[in-house]
Amino acid sequence: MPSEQIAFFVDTTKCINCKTCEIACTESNGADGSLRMRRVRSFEGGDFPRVFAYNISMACNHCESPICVEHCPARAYTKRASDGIVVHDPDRCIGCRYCTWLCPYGAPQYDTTKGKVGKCNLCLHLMERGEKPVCVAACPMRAIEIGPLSEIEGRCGATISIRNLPSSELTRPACRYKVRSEALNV
Amino acid sequence: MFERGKSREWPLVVFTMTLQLACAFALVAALSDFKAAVVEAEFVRPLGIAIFPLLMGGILASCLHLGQPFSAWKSLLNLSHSRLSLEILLTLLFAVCALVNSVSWMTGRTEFRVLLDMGTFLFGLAAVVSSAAVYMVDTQPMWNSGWLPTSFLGTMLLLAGAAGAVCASSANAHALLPWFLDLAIAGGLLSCLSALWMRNLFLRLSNAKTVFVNLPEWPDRRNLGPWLSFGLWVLLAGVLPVAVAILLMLFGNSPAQTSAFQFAPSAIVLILAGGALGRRLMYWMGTALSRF
Repeated sequence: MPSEQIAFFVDTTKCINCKTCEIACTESNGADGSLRMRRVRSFEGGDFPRVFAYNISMACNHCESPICVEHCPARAYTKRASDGIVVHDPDRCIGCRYCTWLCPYGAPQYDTTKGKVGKCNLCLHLMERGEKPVCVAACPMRAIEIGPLSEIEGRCGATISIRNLPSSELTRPACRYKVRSEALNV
Repeated sequence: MFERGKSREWPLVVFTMTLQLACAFALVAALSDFKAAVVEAEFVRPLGIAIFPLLMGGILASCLHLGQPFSAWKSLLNLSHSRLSLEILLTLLFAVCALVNSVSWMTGRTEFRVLLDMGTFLFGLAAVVSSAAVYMVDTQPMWNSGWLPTSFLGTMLLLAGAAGAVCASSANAHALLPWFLDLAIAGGLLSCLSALWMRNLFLRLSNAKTVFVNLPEWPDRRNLGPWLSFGLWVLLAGVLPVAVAILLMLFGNSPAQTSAFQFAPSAIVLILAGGALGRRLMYWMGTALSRF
């Protein structure tokens, strides 16, 4: 267990699906636009007149049981002991794409130009300079935040059990969302 | 832009099919040694020689799947946890065994033949089972099911039965024919069972919105591609070979049977084509179902 797991907190009740986070991430990390390490998806449901919609912005969840770390044949992934961030080492990656098959959230993505996989590393280069990840800094609604998981878990409405997402039991994602009641997986 | 489902997995289709074919050849060689004397089993010599080059072709094809083919050796770095690493190790061990076995068949040496053939088959079987286990991870609900190993083993048995029947009939080794036809029937039935199992699982998962949020066009009936692949898979690698094998068993040593065996090599090509379509469908289903 990392000494202090860092996690994303996304307040989906604030998210307006403007995709600024997605664009900022792609501009900053996305290998000339070929990768979308953060994506915003919109979900709709219900029957008229009781209809609902919600947006989920998601990147790598830096899971507590990361399947990419366990199964990568080249040991290209490591989970940092200090902050629990799952880091991908491109020098070790052989481009087998096994991780892209296994991750239930589609976080690792294959870069066809490099022949290697890329994924969110929580903008470590910025974090080490004391700055925020680009998605956090760019969100005009201030819907995305990062912080220690222990603190984020205590926030009002924080959950990971969301309708339409894979079961959190699989990899125990280290992120939390605040969602409307319709989006809760009940 | 990379999207799930846009990637083509043909190198892996070639790899899985050649791995199963090589294992099938090893099974035919081992079975022939077991049921006939080693000297009488010479009719499977072409298969014994072909195991190693066939397997190497498949291994080279699988390297083409990698973004960094020259770093393929790094795939052995996580043997303790990664099923993919284990599969590659077992395939390499199978290749070493197959090399010794193929050289033994080529040079006509009969010492340790039974032991070598049995060992090669067992390593081949381990490689085929581990190649199925690679896909059976609980975050991949489409692959994490019994249909996948059933399909791999079914194809292997079917190919063994067909290849054995071709060799036995061409060498007039009719005593072994029923064994090979039984293998072909068992393999074909397993292939049919796995195909139907896979289809039902897909349709069930398609309705489970908690698993997949972005369904592809299948099972939209207007999209005929996957249905066509599915139909050809069941037909070529299941129904047709089973029907032909049953007919050949019923007609015994009639002239009709003899003439039917003239077409047997092309039947193996058709089985391989059907199996390849099934594998392609398998990869498509696993990678195209975008969950987020």
